[in-house]
Amino acid sequence: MAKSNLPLVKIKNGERQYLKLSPSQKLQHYILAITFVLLVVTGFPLKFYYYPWAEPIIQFFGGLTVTRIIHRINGVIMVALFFYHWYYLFKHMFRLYVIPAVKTKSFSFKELVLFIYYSPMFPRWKDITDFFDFVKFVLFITNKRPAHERFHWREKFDYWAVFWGIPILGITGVFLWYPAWATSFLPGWVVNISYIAHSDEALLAVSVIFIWHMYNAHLNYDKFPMSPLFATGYLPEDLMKHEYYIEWKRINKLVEMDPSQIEDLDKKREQEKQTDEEKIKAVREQISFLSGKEGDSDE
Amino acid sequence: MRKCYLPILLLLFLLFYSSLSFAEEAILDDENCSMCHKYPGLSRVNDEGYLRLFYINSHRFTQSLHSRVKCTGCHTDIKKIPHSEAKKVDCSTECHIKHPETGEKFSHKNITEILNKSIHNPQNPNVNKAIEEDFPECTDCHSNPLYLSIAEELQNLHGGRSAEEILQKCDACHEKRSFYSYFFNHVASRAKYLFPAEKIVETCIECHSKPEMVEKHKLKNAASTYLDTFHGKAVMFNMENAPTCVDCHVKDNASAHLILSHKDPESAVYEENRYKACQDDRCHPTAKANMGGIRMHVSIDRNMYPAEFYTALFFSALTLGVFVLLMLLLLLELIREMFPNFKIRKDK
Repeated sequence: MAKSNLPLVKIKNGERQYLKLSPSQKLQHYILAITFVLLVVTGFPLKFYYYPWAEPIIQFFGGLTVTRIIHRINGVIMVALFFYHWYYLFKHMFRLYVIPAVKTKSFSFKELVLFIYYSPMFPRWKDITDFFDFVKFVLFITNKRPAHERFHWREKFDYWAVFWGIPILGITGVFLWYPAWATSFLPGWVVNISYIAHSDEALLAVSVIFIWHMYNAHLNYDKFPMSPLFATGYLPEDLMKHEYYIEWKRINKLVEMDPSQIEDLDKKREQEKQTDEEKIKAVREQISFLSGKEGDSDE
Repeated sequence: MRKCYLPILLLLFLLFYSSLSFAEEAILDDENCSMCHKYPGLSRVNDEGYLRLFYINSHRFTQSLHSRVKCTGCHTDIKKIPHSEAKKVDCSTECHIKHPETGEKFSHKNITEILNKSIHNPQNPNVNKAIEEDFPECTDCHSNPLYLSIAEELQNLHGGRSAEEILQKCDACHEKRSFYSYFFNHVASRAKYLFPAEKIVETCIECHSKPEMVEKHKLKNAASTYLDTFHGKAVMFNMENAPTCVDCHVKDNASAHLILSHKDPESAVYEENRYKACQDDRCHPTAKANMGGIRMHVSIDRNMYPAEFYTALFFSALTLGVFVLLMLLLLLELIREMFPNFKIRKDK
């Protein structure tokens, strides 16, 4: 993780909160989540047109003409986010490694590959061993949970599922949006399979997000009823230590070396707290100022 | 005892009042058929065990398409009253109406001729299975519908007259309003699509999605497959301009009765002709020949639609595989968390 302007650790109500998502990542997640929900709400009544709830939802949005506009706008935003994310990845690759390495004349391709391999979301050998360690754990073979880094195999699975899902849904979506254009250079059955792929891939995405992702992020034993991560970007220490032990150790080491990375909100609040004397003095000063007994030299 | 009079009087009044409200309007009935058929209870259980109702609501009948045809104009086999069981009506019968242009007796014969050229004639060589009784007659798709007046809509047009004003114009020369309003409705109700799109689809589905029909006539991709397309869904959700069966299966400006087999080169749905239906100005004006290759009646069948079959198979396997695996892990984890310190193998 880059050294950002945000403190790595915040202390609030005596509890340490660890930085996990940068504001940009948080915003990207918000956009993804909102467009996803709107796409599902406007798309699924069409997929499941034969259920009684389909028609009321479509009428709620103002009929099919409106739902399909909402669906298309959100689809475009989601695809735009996908392209933005590519830009975001390359920007960070250049900002964090390529430019500094070239400027210090120490650039090597091997190191660039290592940089990518060890970047937080890249699938690594460790994720596979972590997965099998997890299976051993849930099968009562061992009592030891695998220790994770900043993003563990579940999060990487969700991330790469989206990476696969958006192109599939985006391309097939454009074909369905412009069938006349698509068939000007493709055979007609491509539109037919796009139709199947679009709706089936959406069902897969919904089942994974609404059950698996929601369970992992909010509903499991540790986090129920919800985790603050998506809103604050920080995770409380108990969760961090439990789920991301390696990352917890890494951040602790960093803040030990550089205590300025800790923002103690409790202490700040304590310092900013006014005494009763200060408070009442301020009130009295204001009353006397506004009632014109002081400084009324205009007359 | 006296207390009972009032309710009884009231009931009697209601009884008469309700029968008064059923008083007939003037319908063309020189034959006096309404003598019996005006009674709402007139019915009989037929040989197949169905209760058949023979009541004619004269108010409704006067507003229907056939209000100027005498009863015996269609029911030609009825010569005397009371009559025995009437035969089924044949729409190609020449009825008492005279064609205003030629003065000849009117009949729907020409429609029958068109229908005979279509795939709905069992003698058509492209028919999968010529089972005569399964093929539609006029009355299988058509009833005697009411004239739906569009006079109110005309009023909303720019510079449009109100319904009453229009009829006043006619009053100037014509005496009988019931006579000329018939002609007005005759023309006006053809100026607009009055039949809702979903009714057209329902009419076709009546036979084309009936399981035994599908099996007998080898209609594997029956009409229900159409409902799975965006076209079908648009019709179901009342979208404007949503295409129904007729929009693709009938050539532009041809009679809706001339639906031909997809094997017939003259047909609107013949492989090479299909894209022309897509090209309609209201639909996909930029459609090219390949657009006709988009299939509108896909059933997930390995032999008929292999590309669609394997795509659906792939995604079903992927979805099920991923979902089952993830759910299994989720459940196992929840169980595991209940016994955080339990382990099968003891440490050595």
